[in-house]
Amino acid sequence: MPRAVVLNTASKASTTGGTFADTLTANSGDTLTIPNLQSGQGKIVEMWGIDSASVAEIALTDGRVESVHDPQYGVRFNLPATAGGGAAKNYALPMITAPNYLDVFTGDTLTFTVTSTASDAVMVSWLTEYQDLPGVQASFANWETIKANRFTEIGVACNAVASGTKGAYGTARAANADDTRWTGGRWYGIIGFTVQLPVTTISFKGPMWGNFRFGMPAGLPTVSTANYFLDLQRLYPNENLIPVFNGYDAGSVLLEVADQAASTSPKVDIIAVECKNNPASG
Amino acid sequence: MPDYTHDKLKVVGRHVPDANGGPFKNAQEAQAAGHDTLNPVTGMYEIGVEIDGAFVPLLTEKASTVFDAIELAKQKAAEEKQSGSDTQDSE
Repeated sequence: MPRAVVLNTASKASTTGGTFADTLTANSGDTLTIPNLQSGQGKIVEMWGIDSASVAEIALTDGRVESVHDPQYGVRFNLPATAGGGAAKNYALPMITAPNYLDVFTGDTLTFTVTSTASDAVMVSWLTEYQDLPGVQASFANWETIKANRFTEIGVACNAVASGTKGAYGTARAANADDTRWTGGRWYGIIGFTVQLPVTTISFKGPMWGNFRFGMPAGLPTVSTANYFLDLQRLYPNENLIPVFNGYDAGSVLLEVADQAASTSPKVDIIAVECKNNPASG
Repeated sequence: MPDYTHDKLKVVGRHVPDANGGPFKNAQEAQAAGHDTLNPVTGMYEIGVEIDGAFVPLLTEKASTVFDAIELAKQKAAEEKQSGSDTQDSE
């Protein structure tokens, strides 16, 4: 049962504006298409988004009524105005949050159409859980196995920066590029991270997660990011949602930042529990 | 009468770029600092008041958001000016 949890992002750096006049495209390395699954089914467990300057409404559709109600507008999500704390600010506004989820099926393609103001940047990120994704055995653990193998705790700096293009991922930065204290042979469960400056999305990627992204929002209201993966796992008690890697592979763990503003430097401190044995169960 | 100690405060703005935010000489230098452009707009833009020489911030925005808005306003002004001169020409 090869399992995976995958982060994808879709964005548009400068919208045309108008009623559902723009369609978001997948960021580099990401996809809107649901892959071939043994079970034929996965679920989106988290989704968040932002408009860089104004209110916006996003319609999420795909080709199947069991997933979203209809192909006209499917599930509509509003992104609120600055007045209430929203557009143009340091936000990653919740669209789908646990324990709610959205079923997705093999072969479907997600479509995000947007009502926005001309020249805005709009981006949406989401986490999809696949119970059985052929070719992947992503390394995730739960809190109980992390605790059982716990040796110590570490916070490690990684200065990944958002792209000069709004909504796009910036240059990938290795988890040991700015702080090399990871120990080879020890296992690290990434509990979450902290930032100096809120951003919309932070992505982790590495061979231990099948070279698929995993990640999270790092903007309001998700400012309590230090325990994000742990909290997410607690919302799904039967799932393994805490990413794990070996210290030898720290150079292969790549962080990327995507934000509604260009060139944002959030300054990430990764919070991890160091384990003597591998707490991941696949 | 309100007991204001200062009643003529000047509203000011300033750009506070990141320490290692460029501009960069080449792509390698930019990439080493985590950037994918040679001349990124980094850091924050602070809007505040000056009180007896001291800057007191009122609002802080991501700098690229502010400079994007300025650029957009300039473009719109240029478009409106062009549109105005086109109308005059056709009259």
